[in-house]
Amino acid sequence: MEPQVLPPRIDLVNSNSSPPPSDSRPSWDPWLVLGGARFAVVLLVVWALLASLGTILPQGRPPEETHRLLGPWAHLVLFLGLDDLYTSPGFLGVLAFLCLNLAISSVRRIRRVRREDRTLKIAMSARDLAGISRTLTLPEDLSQASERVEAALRSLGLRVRRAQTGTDISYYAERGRWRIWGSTWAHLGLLLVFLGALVGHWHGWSFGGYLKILEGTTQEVTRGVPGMPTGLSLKLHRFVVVGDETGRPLDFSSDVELLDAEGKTLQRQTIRVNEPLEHGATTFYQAGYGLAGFRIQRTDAQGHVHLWKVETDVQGRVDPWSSVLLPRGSGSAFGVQDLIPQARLEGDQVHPISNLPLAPAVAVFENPRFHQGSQDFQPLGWLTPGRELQAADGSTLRFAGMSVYSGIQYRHDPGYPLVVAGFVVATLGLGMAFYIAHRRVRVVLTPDRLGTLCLVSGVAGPPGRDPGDLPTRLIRRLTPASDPDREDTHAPA
Amino acid sequence: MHPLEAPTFQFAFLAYFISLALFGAYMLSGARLAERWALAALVAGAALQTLNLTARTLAAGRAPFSNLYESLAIFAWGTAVCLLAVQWSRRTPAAGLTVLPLVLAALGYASTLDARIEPLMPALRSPWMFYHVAAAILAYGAFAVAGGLGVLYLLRHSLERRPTPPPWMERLPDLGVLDTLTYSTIAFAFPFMVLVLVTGAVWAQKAWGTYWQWDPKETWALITTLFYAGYLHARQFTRWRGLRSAWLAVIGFLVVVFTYLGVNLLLSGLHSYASG
Repeated sequence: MEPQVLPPRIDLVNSNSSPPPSDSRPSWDPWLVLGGARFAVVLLVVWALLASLGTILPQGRPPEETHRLLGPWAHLVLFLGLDDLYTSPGFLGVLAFLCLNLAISSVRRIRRVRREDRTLKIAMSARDLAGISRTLTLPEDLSQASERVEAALRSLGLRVRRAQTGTDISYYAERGRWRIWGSTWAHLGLLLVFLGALVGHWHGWSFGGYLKILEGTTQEVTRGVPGMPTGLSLKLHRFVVVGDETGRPLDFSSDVELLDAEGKTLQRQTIRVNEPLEHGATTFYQAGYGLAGFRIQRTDAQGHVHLWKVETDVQGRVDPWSSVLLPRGSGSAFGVQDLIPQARLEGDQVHPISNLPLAPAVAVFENPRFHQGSQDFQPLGWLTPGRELQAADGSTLRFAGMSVYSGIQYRHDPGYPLVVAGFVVATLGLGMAFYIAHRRVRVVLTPDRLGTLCLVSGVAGPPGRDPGDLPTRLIRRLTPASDPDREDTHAPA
Repeated sequence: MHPLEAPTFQFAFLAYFISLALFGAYMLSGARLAERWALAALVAGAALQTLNLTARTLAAGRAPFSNLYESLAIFAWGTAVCLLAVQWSRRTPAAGLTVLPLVLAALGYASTLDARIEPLMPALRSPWMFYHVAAAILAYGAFAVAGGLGVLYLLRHSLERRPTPPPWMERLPDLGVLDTLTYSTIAFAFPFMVLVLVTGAVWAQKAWGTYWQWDPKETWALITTLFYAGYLHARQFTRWRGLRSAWLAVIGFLVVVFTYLGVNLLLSGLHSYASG
């Protein structure tokens, strides 16, 4: 018996992953507008334009520098807050609307998928599928044929649902259902990331700071400001910095010990860039280094030795006036005018290399008539490790060592787990949305005088997407190898 | 430098050039033999470049991701591999004509740069670097192919409007095929682009204690991601297909080029080590 070719009565392209019809029509319902794809596209474009503006306009500079760089445009930029764009209300406002859009669209999508799940019709008649399906006649009776069809569907890795209406048996089989949830996961993951970032920047929950620690010393870890202890302190056992002669840092690491309020060891670890010390939500990073100070040994004409200690300021520079070594008796006064952490000495010429505290050079000045009230300091020369300077008062100056600080940044960020979870969820969601194919097939079995008539129809995904070759593969499995032409018709889909 | 590195680089360039010439010959003559040899040359070029990058990895003791020379070489390789994948999924010899010039340009530019192997700076010594750059190679390579396919769409679209289209137009894929291929390539690349941001943010958190610093490079990577997110949403929900979709694919690739090269050359920031 040839199957009756009747017009389809139901829409098999009732895809869960297809957009709702309402999205393709303009609507002024705030719920639809704020959570709509059109609004999302507008927000993405605006946010991208604003972000690109921030890479062109100078950011975070003092107003006078903005005026110098932008001339007459500076007024407009400062008025609109574009000189600190990434924290401006406009930029954050677009981000807030983007989050709102993500949240509303996710809720709408979850509700739609659940509604479609509830209303999914498994049972169909042969008449429903006629005209949009491919048919073949199976020689078995209905119950045997249904067993074979079910087995074939399962062998294709499909999740099978079955229903019976009168004499017809219907199957709805699918695989890759995860795809439906892909974009929802991606959106919810992004929301988690933003939530984690918000928690991480909320003062009161998060704090951070920067420690400059010398070897063998301990510093208190505060909540970013002095007088607000966290009960933690950090001790630097050893700091190692390795660089090459060109000034390129090859490695720098700190052997640190984290102590609690009673001085008990909580953790000890060698930290370097990319290898921070993590203690709960607080993380300690190797962030920098520099010269904290140096020592110069002065041996006067009588053989008396004095140690001259010079400390650097917060920028690692030497203040010439606070570093003066006052004379004893009628000797010279000495001062330091310049400090280069890594330098190469050629004769009396110094070539700066880098800020790596590896081969310092100190410009020493001498004032032989300081005790007579003279303020005239004359350059004595560059002092480097292994080099001596002979002063006019008969004393000898020698570089006697330096102290290097390790710059350790710390941050307490309780939002970190949320951000990482968000990244994982969003990445999985994108993988599901773009790399998993949601394949569905409907089969209706109906008794026939030659056995059982089997109607097979693939269900397409989003509009324009290929429904895949599941119907072909199913028919191939149901057709004996010796009878490849068993398929009866190829009705147009 | 490994002894195999220089010859494999030169022969890969030559193979890509031959492939481009043969794809051109096929488009003009329709000779299937030219197409087959063009594909063979493309495979040979990709294989030689794989050898080249392996040799450099062995010589450097690390993945070749540290400077602009290595970055351009690996971008060229990623683009060629993505082009091969597109050829494998659907026969589109014309794509070679728009994508291979990008591969050759990247390799040509790389050949003008210092190829010496330098030790990695401490900030780059992280396993996250591998994931970050590997994702970028796949994303940028696929976006390059999508841009090339977009150009083909625009070309075919303009040729079809002529009263007498040239005979070789028939060797360009149909507009529908080009549209679907462009979309599929971007849909393949987009999750990798997001992965570039994700791995970069996690890495920055590990190294510097902050996910995001609004550095020009990461800002433009975000802009690239937003652009393609907009493309995918527009296509899915507002039915922006065909001509508009092709234009977006081409513009998107220009954004990628600016993110990849323009930022390094014109703006300074945390990624400035990638400028040379």
